[in-house]
Amino acid sequence: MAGGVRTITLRWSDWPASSLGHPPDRPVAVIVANRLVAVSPGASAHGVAVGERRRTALRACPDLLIAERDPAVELAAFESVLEVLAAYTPGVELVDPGHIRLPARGPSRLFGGEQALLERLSGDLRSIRPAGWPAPGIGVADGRALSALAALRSVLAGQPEVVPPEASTNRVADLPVSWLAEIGEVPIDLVSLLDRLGIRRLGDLAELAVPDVVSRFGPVGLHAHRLANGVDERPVNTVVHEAALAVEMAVDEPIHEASAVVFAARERAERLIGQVASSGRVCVAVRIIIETEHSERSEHCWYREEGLSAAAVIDRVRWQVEAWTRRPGAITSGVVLVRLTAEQVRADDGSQEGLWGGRSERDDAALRAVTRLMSLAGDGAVEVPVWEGGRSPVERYRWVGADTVDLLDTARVHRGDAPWPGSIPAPAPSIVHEHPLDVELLDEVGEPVMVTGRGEVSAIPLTLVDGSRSRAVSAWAGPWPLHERWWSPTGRRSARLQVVLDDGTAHLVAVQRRQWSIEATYG
Amino acid sequence: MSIIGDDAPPHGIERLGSARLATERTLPLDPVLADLLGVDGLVRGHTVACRGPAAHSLAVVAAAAAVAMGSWVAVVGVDGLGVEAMADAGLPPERLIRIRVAGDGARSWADLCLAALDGFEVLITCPPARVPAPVATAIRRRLRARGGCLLVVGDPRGLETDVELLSDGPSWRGVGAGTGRLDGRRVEVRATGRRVHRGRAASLSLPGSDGRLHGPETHHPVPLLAAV
Repeated sequence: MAGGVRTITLRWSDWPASSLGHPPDRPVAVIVANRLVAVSPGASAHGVAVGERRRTALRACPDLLIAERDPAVELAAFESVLEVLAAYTPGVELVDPGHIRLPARGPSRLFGGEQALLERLSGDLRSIRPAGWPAPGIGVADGRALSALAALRSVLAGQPEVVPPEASTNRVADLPVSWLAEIGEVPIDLVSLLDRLGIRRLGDLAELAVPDVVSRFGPVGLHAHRLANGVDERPVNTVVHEAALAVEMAVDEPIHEASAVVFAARERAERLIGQVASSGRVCVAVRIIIETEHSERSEHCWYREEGLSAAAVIDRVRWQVEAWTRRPGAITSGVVLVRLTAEQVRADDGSQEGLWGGRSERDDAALRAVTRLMSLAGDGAVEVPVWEGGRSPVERYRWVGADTVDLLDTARVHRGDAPWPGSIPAPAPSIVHEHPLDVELLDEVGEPVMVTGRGEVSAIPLTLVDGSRSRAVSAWAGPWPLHERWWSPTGRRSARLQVVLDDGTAHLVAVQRRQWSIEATYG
Repeated sequence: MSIIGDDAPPHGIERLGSARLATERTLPLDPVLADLLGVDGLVRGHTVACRGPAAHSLAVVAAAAAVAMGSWVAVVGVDGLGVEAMADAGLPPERLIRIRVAGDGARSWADLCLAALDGFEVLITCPPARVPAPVATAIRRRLRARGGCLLVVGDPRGLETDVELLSDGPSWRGVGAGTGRLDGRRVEVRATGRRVHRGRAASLSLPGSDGRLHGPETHHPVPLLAAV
């Protein structure tokens, strides 16, 4: 009862690492929000693994070369793969550089069956990366999600994973529920909630009754439940629903700046996505075509299961333009045309609403307001939090420009599970001073209080002097010593105290090189 | 295939704008605060001033339930709101945006607030030293038209408020002379203002040791998502 279209997924999980162009034995890791998302074989050999924090990884492998994720770099390197695949089918869908899908039926007819197709494909892709990088995961199954799961299994098995038609159910029962998030089908929130309820395998999820799933987890839960039962009904790139929507931007004066192309595309993307949303639908696949005066062309079809916001479309325009300009000789003149086409839309089944993130009308309204705010206040002045982790409340969340992240990607604010030894205990302070206020902390004879190498205070703190204002310390706790980068000679030693002052306010104060400062306030 | 040229009116955008107009009179509000104010929720179009030593925490818990249920919150010109404390208080930070205001100019602050109110249902802000009356009126009109809620941290300056939450007499638990750790605060909160009819005062736990707001009887509020 699978019912989906035969689909091939190709997945290079370490693509972000290999796209940097270092030899495979060089230890390289790519991070997002300080967490490793891809590592090279050289890094794996040192025991460095995806999902680790930057600091842990550096401890395991001090020579580790760390780079922030840059989809434009990844896409520039990935163009060679896409060129190879263009010979098989025009229907390639790009989920991410390193993660693509194509319909199996057409090409397998052309090349004499699925098996022959896979052999040929593996052969053609072998020379894409230098020896030493692993082969991609290749999964074939009925439907897009099931083939993505098969590709993940293939990565582990080291050979293509072909799930025969109509036989998908029993193949997924043993897989962890978290793989649904890994392939981008459900938000990580749902996975962690299911995990808390003891539902860890897709088989466990499949056994739940449909009405319970719907009432408990809504449409997203239902989607996950269907996948767990081996049903994948959303088709890969073979059907164009009714009249595809497109917005086109033709310009008289060729644009020569990548950022200007992106800027000009912004309003079009908002219009396109607004148009789709006004009929109660979400756009899951967008085709972005960019053409130059010399008729050079960059064309990709991008897919995102949870729906593409205008901001997500603009991101992809940017990656495409930047990747293009990174390839020597690929672009020789100004851009004269940008065309955005909503290739696949589906009814907004409500899975975008509510608790599970994704896109709702409110999200769209907020994203439009963000675009407007950025033009009013300047890009850097509009910020969103990302989770960073750390011992101190000051470093656990970092603010980044709203234009540098996908605002609908809730994973950016998810707190890691790992406890931080020696961290300042909850509750967290409600005010975090980005520029800590220098103060003096004095003992009963008016001498500065210090923290000894053994992590003890030199005297009881009695007074906090903040400029001309002096307040009595009525209670205090700590110190929490902190040695950052203790393996390095430039490492920082500091310690923190919680102090309650006689006016009832409470603060987190830190000392470093004998200078006290108020880092945060419990306001 | 319909190609939308440059001159085509953006139907989709206009329709969305009007469709977003409030269908309900209130936004979700923490039951402890709702009880204190004698209301069911955060009334759309209202301005709520949060004052006293727990002003920041009050603004965050006043916004938390609405944001947890899907509203977006913009923080305009408030420096250093602790994101972790917000998350602990039940405000999901994925729908939180912060806008820095350059200088003290009431004009740029007002423009940013007006633009934010177009897309955000909840706004947390510290007004500049002087808010001219026409600016206050413009903000109030936009609040009403869009159905948002404005939460002011500290002195509302020239802004007209509907509700005031006044905090006073904070006392911290758990910390002694070099012992223990901060483990929550008791604070007196009084609800007042021209739109508050049955408001009262109560001693609240804000934050409790779990970072959340708890009422006078320390009834733990029912989590939004109870386990199955």
